[in-house]
Amino acid sequence: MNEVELRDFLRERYPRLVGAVALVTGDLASAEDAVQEAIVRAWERSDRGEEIALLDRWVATVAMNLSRSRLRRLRVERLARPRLSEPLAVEAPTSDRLDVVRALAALPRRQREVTVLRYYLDLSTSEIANEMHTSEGTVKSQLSKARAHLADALALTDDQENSHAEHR
Amino acid sequence: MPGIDDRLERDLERAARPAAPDPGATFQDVTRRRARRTVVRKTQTVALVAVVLLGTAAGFAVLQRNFIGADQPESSGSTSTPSPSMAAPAFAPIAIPSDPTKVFMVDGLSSFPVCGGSMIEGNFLGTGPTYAYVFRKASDAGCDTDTWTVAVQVPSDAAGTKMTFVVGGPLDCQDPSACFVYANPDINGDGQDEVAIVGAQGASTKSFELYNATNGSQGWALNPYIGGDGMPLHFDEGGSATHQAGTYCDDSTGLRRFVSWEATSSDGTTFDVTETPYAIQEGLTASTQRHLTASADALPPHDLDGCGGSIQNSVP
Repeated sequence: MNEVELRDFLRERYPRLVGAVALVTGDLASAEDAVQEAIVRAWERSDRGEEIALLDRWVATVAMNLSRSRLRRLRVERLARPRLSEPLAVEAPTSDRLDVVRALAALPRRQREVTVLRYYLDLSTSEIANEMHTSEGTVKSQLSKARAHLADALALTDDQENSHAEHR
Repeated sequence: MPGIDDRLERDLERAARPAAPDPGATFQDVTRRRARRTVVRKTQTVALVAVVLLGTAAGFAVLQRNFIGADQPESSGSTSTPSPSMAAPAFAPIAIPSDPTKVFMVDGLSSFPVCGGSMIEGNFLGTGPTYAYVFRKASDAGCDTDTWTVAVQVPSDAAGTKMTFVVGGPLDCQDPSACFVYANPDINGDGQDEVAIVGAQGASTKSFELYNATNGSQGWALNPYIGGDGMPLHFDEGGSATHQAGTYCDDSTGLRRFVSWEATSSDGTTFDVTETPYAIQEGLTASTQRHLTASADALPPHDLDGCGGSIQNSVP
């Protein structure tokens, strides 16, 4: 990866990747941090002669893994010290945006990741399975559970779900 | 109304907040981050190398200190300086595994593992009963080195309840089965036993050295009696129908003498005997030899006869 390719990548793919990780983590700053760290690692690999076939997918997966590690560390730190302040205030509700963010945040981490990879980064289930080093069946199972929870949280009716299922 | 898939695609698209709008600034961030990672990695590498080098040097120093103490027979090899008037030690002997190939550590002896141990009780310090041992040094691969060492338990506190070791050696042993503590004679009758250690053994013969513990300004030391050639003195016991050897202590003149003898015969009935008496002062000094003729049943005493102590004929 040379400088031109890196600049192109930052211009064309970076915003979407940060958005994807932010959807999973719920925090834009940590998402940016994780994505930048992943890009640096990809850059270093490239300099060592290692080839990354699908850079945006690789960066997305590594960034999500990095953010997971950071969240785990933050959780431990938080448990280790008494609460000194109230939890951070959430942004003011803005209709659909908050609905889906809230619904997503209520999902287990794994379901959140497959949902974002599938519906925001448009990866197929096999691609998700490949990136997450798991089976396609597991991804489908996680997606199915996520869809059910999200449909319930977003107040979709059974009829809407059924009619959609028929169309698929 | 769209289905859940369409709804999710739409809502997630709206919900995803835009990232930093300036690719140039992001590029600078990424470049700085990479430079920082490079520095951190180099620092970690230097720190790791330093730790490894320091650890290696420290380990080498510890090993060198331990092995030098056991590999120089002329050096003191001492570990502590208890008073000679100290009460009899109340510590227990080391438990030696019955399997001679089993590798084990001995607290207070050294940092290296040992195997193939043998033990005998005696008054080796002149202060009361204690224990002498022969150990074979073990390696990482097991009980396979050709280095043996002799050690005597020494009390390290005034009450005599704690112990350490005074170490001597390396021993000149010919094979693993013929390197063990053999006896605790007191060849000069001073009340302090010597450690007799077998270094070679045949079907009916054995060859041993005598180690003597001394307490000097550097503390206890354990050294063999040295001959005129500067090498440890060897004494033989046993033999064949035509060649015999032995050792004994003689008090007949009112002055304790330690005597080594050899006898050869052409017919197995009459032997030409050569006795070598030793003057015992700071060490052993061979004095004028005596030649005599003796029948097979009138050979001089043997097996450290008259020297006190007990004989231990084989490895436990």
